[in-house]
Amino acid sequence: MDTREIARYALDALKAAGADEAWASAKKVRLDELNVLSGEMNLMRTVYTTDFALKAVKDQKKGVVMLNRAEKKDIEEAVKDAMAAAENAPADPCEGVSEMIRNASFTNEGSEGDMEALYDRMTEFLTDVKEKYPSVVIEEMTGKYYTEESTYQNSNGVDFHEEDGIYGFSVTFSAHEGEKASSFNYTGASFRKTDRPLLSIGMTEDLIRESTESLDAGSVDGKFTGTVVLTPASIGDLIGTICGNFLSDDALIEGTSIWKDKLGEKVASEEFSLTIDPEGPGVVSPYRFTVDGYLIERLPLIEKGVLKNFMLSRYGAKKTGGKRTFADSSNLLVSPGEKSLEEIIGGIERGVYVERLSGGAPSANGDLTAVAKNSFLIENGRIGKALNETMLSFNVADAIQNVVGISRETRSDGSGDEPWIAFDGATVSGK
Amino acid sequence: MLKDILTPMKRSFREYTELRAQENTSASVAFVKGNLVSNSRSTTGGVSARVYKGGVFGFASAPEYDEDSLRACIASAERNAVFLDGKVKKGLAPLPRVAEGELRPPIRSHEVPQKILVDTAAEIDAYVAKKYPDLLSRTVYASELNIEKLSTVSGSSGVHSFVPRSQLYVIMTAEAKDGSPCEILLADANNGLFDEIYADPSRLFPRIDLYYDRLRDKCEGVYAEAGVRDVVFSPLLTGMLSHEAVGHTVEADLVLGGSVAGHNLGKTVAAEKVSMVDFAHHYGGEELPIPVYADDEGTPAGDVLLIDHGVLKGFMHDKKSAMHFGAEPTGNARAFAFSDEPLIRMRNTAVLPGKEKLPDMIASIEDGYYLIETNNGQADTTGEFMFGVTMGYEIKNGALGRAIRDTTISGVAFDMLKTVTMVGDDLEWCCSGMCGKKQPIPVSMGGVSLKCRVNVGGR
Repeated sequence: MDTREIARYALDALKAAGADEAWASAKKVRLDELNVLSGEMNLMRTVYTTDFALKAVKDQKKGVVMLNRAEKKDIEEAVKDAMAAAENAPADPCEGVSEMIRNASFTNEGSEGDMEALYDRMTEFLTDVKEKYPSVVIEEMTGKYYTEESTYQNSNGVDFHEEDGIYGFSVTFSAHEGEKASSFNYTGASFRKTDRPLLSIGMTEDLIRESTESLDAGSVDGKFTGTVVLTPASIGDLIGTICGNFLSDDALIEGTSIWKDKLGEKVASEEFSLTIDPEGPGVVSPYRFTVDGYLIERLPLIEKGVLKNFMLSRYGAKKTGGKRTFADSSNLLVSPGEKSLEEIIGGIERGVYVERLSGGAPSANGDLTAVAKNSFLIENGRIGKALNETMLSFNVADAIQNVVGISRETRSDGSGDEPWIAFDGATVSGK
Repeated sequence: MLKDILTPMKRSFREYTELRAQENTSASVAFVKGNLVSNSRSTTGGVSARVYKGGVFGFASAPEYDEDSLRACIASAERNAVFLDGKVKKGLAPLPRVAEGELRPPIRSHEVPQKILVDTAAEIDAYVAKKYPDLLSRTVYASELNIEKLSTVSGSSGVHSFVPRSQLYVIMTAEAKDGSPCEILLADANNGLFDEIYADPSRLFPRIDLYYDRLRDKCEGVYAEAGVRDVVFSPLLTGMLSHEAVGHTVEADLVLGGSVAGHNLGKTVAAEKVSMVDFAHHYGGEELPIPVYADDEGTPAGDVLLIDHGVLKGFMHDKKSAMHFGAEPTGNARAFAFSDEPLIRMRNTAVLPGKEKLPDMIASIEDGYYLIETNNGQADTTGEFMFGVTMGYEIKNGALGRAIRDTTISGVAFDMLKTVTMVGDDLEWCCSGMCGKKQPIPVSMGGVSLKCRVNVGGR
């Protein structure tokens, strides 16, 4: 069966079993992957699987089952399990499935998996790094080509279908000289064609070069309050905290979001805008539909500092009385600013240029304390010495109110163009 | 329970081959403020083959568990190995042989009924809701993950294992004195079947009460003072230290990748009081939370002495890294899912107990912190580590003071371990969460109270 047939068969079986409402999704996947370990090719992997999931709602009670097989007997067993799970759940009037708004089908053209070509790009990358940055050790690297054919259908007639094939790579590395070593760092990207050296994609070469500049890292003396510059490689920590702690279903249902009553109010600097945009610049392989069955479209979350929307699922919206949007944390783009990165750094008296944050999960109120990894001290408008054993402490909600610059330059790892962002008020502490 | 149709396939192996059938079954429920937001079951299973040729591996997997699928996987893995060997031409020797392992039958195969998960989580949620109505929010998460593996390996009998893990998390959120939300996480995880471990949910109630009291302290708490400080770690933090700060650096693949441990074998890396071991399956006559009797390369699993009285003694190996270092494979090659290749992973990693008592440790500190709870950790190949600290108290003049708000601590493992001056006798194990290294995998961490100096983040 193809995925449409799987989903249809499951929905029919759910209906026959007595479900009032239901959805079913299926994704047939083939993954071909090349693995590098300690700088050398180590493994080639081929994985076939069928990700299959369904949800049954009966008398406002739900059950969800997930499998990686979808033959008829598997589907029938899953339907039984989902109905049994629903039977034992408490009733909740907010349960249900998405209403039909507009069905859609997507086929992404432009790439066919060529593992020989990918192998050549990976070996070219290993050679390039060895020649240009001889102190760098590639700890591990993965190159892959991933194809999927997927369907989401529900009992309200919603029908989404997608076929895609895409390349990706990820690499973890560090620099070494005698017993001196930099912190490890990692990066990766998704891409449609093997027409570019992997070293030239996204932040890859910047990060590798910076690791060689971090062999003589040191800590800051004591502590100071300064400016933090997050790069496109580290801005995800900021975005993730905003979405998870302030905008998500859980934070709003729990009532722990510090923005729960701030819709339409200013929550950030006017320079700061955050948007869900599957068609945005630099988005190579967009997420097309949410887990709860809505087609994802452009949605401003924060526009010129004003909170415009939460990220509420159908369930979250009904539970909180809010507006249903998209509960999906992919393709989240911070809008670029007016200044150049050079101007922004030139205006910083004392701060830290941060490529990676290694820290505990941020508190519900947005307090974040982390070690600044692969990072550099900024003094008098210039990037200076590499740092280690240096901690940063700031509140994410305060940080986006204290923005001193967002760069016009951006970089993308395939999930969308992101700028550099600088904000004041972080506590920087060393040994 | 998986039936063995793998062993007869051994006749068709043309190169060194590992053939594995595996099924991961999980069930979970989550109540957020009394709402059942998650009620799901999941099964991920299938077969995989990994073939070694001249220094490289070919791997293939498929979700069906039948003879056709096994043949197809072996053929595909062989093709991949031939492709890569033809390109790379390393010409390395065959993998080392290991002692023939015993094909162990699983203790039992089991899936917890969803109703038990729902009812248990609901009972705990109702207890918290009734007793602590002043909370801003509460979340109760209950889950069971069972991993069954059946394998056969060239030169070994392979293994048949079944490892169940049950978890219950309670998150309580209250309003802090500054009006911001303040939370605490109680994570309870055990090796065992959910319906047996949590047959009486009320056994968790005293711990919930303790955590509520700590949350109230935290709501009145202060931000830690940033800087290098004297601290006492709880067993949980020391377990995290053994895993993150030391354990990862002595995984042989990371040593090959340049970890700081590579330069320090045989050298003093910790105070003389510190010893660390990655245990395979037993300690002190008790089966440990993540027992591994033979790994996914068919190597009978043994304990690995990592640090002996302060001296770095060894690395964790799979067959290929053992061949590189001229060492013996240690039984650390583990894969998470049927579709994953084995990687060098920890099992039950612990700092061994000493003789000191926690009250004496606290009494010995004039100005520092007692750090109790952690929610995550990360380590670097340099040995620099960080842990998120979600519960702790000031220590002033040898006594506990005010609670502190969430913070992060950091240090460099082989520097920080030399600052250890007291090692507790209170060994505790923790197996909640997952270790991440390309694949997630359950591990367990053992720790004792520990007095040392670390860099505390704060304001």
